[in-house]
Amino acid sequence: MLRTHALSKTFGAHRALDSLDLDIAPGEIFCMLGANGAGKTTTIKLLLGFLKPTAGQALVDGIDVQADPAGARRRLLYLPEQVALYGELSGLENLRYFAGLAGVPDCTPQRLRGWLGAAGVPPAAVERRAGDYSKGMRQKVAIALAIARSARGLLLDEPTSGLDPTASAEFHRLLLGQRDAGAAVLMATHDLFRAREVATTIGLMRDGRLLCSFKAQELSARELEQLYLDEMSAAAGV
Amino acid sequence: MEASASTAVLRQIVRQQWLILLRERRLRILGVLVLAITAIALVAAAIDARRAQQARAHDAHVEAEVWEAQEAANPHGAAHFGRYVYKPVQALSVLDPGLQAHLGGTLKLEGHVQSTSRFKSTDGGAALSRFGGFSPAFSMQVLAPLLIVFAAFGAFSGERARNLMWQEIGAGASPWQLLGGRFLAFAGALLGLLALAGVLAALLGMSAWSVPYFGALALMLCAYALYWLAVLGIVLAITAMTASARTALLAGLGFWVVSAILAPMLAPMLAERRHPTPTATEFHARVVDEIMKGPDGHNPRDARFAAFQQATLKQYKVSRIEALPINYSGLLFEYGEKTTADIYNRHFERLYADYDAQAAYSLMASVVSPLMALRPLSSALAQSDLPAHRHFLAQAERYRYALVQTLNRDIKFNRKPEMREYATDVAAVTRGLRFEPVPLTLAQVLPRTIAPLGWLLAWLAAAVALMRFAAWRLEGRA
Amino acid sequence: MSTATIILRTEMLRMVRGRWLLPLWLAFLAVCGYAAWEGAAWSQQRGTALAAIQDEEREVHRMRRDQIVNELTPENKARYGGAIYATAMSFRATLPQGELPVLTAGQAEGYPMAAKIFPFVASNTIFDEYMAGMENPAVLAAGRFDLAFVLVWLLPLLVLAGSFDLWSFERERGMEPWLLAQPVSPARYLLAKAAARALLLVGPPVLVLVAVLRFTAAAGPAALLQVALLSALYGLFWLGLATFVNLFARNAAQAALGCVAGWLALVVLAPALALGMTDLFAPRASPAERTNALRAMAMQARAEVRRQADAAPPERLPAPNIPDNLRKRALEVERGEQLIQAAVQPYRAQDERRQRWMDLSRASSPAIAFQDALERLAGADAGRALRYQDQAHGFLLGVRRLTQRYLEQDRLLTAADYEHGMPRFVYREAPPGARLGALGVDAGVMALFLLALLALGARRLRRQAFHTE
Repeated sequence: MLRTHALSKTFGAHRALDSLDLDIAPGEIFCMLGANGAGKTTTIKLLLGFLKPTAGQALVDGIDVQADPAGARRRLLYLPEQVALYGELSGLENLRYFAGLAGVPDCTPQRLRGWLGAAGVPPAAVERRAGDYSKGMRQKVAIALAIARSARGLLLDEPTSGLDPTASAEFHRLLLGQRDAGAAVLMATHDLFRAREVATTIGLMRDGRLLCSFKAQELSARELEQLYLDEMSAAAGV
Repeated sequence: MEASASTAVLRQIVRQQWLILLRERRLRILGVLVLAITAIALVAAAIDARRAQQARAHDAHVEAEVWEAQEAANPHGAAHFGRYVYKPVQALSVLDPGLQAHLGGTLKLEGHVQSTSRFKSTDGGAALSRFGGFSPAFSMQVLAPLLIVFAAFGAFSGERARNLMWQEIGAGASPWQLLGGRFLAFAGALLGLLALAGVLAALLGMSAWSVPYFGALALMLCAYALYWLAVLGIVLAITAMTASARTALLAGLGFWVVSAILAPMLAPMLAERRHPTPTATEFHARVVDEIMKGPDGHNPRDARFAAFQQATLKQYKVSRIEALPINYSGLLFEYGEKTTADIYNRHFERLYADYDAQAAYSLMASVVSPLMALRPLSSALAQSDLPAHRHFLAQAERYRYALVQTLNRDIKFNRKPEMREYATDVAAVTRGLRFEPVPLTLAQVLPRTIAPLGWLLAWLAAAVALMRFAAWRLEGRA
Repeated sequence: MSTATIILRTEMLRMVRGRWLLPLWLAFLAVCGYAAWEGAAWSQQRGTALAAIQDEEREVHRMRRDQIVNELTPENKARYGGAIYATAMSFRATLPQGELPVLTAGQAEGYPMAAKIFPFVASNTIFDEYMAGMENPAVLAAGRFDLAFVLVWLLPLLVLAGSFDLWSFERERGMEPWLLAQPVSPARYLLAKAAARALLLVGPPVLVLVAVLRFTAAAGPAALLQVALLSALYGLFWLGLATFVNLFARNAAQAALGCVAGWLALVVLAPALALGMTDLFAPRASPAERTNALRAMAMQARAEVRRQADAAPPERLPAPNIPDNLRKRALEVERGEQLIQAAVQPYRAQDERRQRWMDLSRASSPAIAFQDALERLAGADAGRALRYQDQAHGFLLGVRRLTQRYLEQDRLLTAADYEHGMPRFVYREAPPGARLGALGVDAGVMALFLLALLALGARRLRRQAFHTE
């Protein structure tokens, strides 16, 4: 579903991404771990068509992202680190808007409420102005959009950054629900332990390169942490 | 010791702000822009002023030649033919042309009529004229405050600036020290720009250098300094009170639109409504109406002259007009001229009183806009305002009256009864009269500057008070 | 529902909920209403002044007719020369107000609105009495707060205030990547959002304007439609500017700065620069110099006639009805006019060159073009004023020809002449096509500027519009 072939991106002299090969199948969650500037967000932007690759190719459900960005995006849902909604509109109105943009048919109030409910938005909050929503609530509206769109691919950029443990756990529960529904998920994150819990595959990124990837269950949490620290220390020359 | 520690903190903040002002590209560009625009406007205005002065000198010379070319002419006809006089260009009007474009620099002097000046540069324009030119005063009065808003609106508002501010407060600086420090740093930059503009203006006005010139220039620059600092204080207070950069910018722009665009336009209009003045047609009709009620000197048989005739005959101890040792028509012209001059003077005095009332009313608008105080002060010192123009008109009227009465007296004393037509060398008759207008002295101008100066000081005080209030609010939240 | 409709609808809903829209509309209504009221007052004052001038002419004719009927006798007719000699005929030529004088005073105060016409008056002086105004120059310098000021200067600020954050709002809040991740092109977002802003920021002010004009001026539907279309086009240009700025600005504050800078550049600096260039390359002919030259011509004419007077024929007997000295004066006037026309020609050519430059300057800013259009719609443009001056001159020449005929026929004026036979000045408007053409040029300038913005914006979008890198 989400594939890259030797995908590279250079900004001037700086190589942000170096020959990345990925293949994320439906029902799979690929977690990218790495420090800031490792190339995680660049990968996501290339898959969205926000950036033009210097080399290589990014494919979404077989569609070349550069050739048909709109077609690719129709199959994708992107969840940024900070989900922003229109504060003057309610959660329901925001969902109606974004679902409408994505071409979701029959966005009746009942269906919208259903999607929001499935995403964990309390019924009382649905009609409230989104300007009053917490970060976690905004995340849920984004998840509701994913449910509404039945997106085949999910691109998540540090989705649990800034969330409290309860909200984070709830988010991951919903994420697993999407995986079970057949979505291919690429998640960039710093959260080693949560990554190990939800991911099918984990990849370590450093300086734009995918150092290694392995099945999440192959390593214990402690081993994963040690591996991560070793790789990051090697980068720092320590 | 506490005081010296506080001063040290303030000095530190000022120094820091100076570094930012010098290093931040946006602020450097804005500063250079203000200076460049003002400099270009100054140079262009100086060139225009020099050209205008040369043109007026040439026009005066040619006009004198035309007057001389009349040769033998009827003196009363010559009085109607009239003369033209030209208003000298004042040195500081380069900096602030004031009302010059709407006043005209040429005045026709003729018998029986007091004219307003002619050939305004706003005559004969097109749609483009509606936008006005670009004078140094416009740059300093309207543009500079806008650029102050652009430069200072983000001093404390916006996420980054706000976070920095809290960090600085956390490090030991008080909100008032932060505000004061930024104010002093920006003020230093603004005063530096103003000084440069002042030096350039002085260099361009070298031919007019004198103690009064420098006195007036210094006062003008002080007034502009007060104005800019008041605007700066308001903008800094707004940015301190507003967390959002967008809101701070919009509030600053709103203040600028009201104080620099709307108030200067609305205040004179409202003043005109409060103290309406007659239209030209109405004014002319009133004057003519009053003149027609009295004798105009053109018709000796006018019944209204009966009393005058009797008094004249009695004075010269004769029983018939024909027996008078002087020419009666000439005497009537002289008397008629005095009468119409008195009538015109009275009507103009009333008109000018209305203008003064309008000006006082407009000055009250200083409560919403400091520019309403700066403008009359600046144009008064530049002698490009209405009182300066009236000073010129008064001198011109004295000359006109003397000229016309000299011609009338020539008829009175030299036209003999047997002469069917009378002509004389009118240039020779009037050669002794010279028109040499002098500008107002600085001492004459200064009284008009006191009230506007008071308003500007009040605005600066209000700006400082607002900054204090903003600092106090931040204290409560720190 | 199409995505464009969804975006448009949501944008309008957001604007209404923002709570700034209604105050903006009300503020515009207030300034519009006040400006129209001021314009109506000015127009009424002008109308009263014009009526007074026409009354003056009627009063003079009535008085002279009464003198002929009640006082004139064969014995005393020499004392009533002012009533019976054609050389003393007195007329007033006035420029009537246009269809929408409420809109703007325009150039009306920079040109004469009337002329005093006598057969022997020098043609260069017929407007003198009506050139001087008594308005406080401080009021003139401040500028008239008329509808043209509101539309040309304030309407852009209203449109920019409501649309400066067209896209920078989303960018600043980090919504941009999420929005662009939807299958909707950036151009579609921008156009649909701009359309929403147009409907709520340009539409209602135009409606307010038309309503205010309808209420304060007796203008026909064609004129109102022209005002509405031109105002809408001008408003759309500023909306286009705001949209264009949003392609570059990284946040709302930057966008606001960019919009204000654009306003400053197009409404303040560009016209000032255009005026400066015009003053430099096509300066106005010095009226003082021209006056001196014409006065010198008048002296020359007088000297010539005096020389000819030495060879003048002896007085005729019996004396003609109209004294011969008036025929002599007529010759002097005719010769003086020839000299005046020759002397005035270079100055006229210089002023015409300046007018052409000022007309061309419309192309340098949509604000100038729109101001020009409003002045034409109000009938307060320079072209109309100059056309009037030409017609007034033509009327003067006609009066002189009539006077010459009467002198040749030695014919005195009668009461019947004053009742029915006096020529009257009637201003002839320019053909409708000419005015429409000029308005078309103005609209074309605004449209060109808008198209230029659209073209540059499209280029920017094609390259890289959004800060996702």
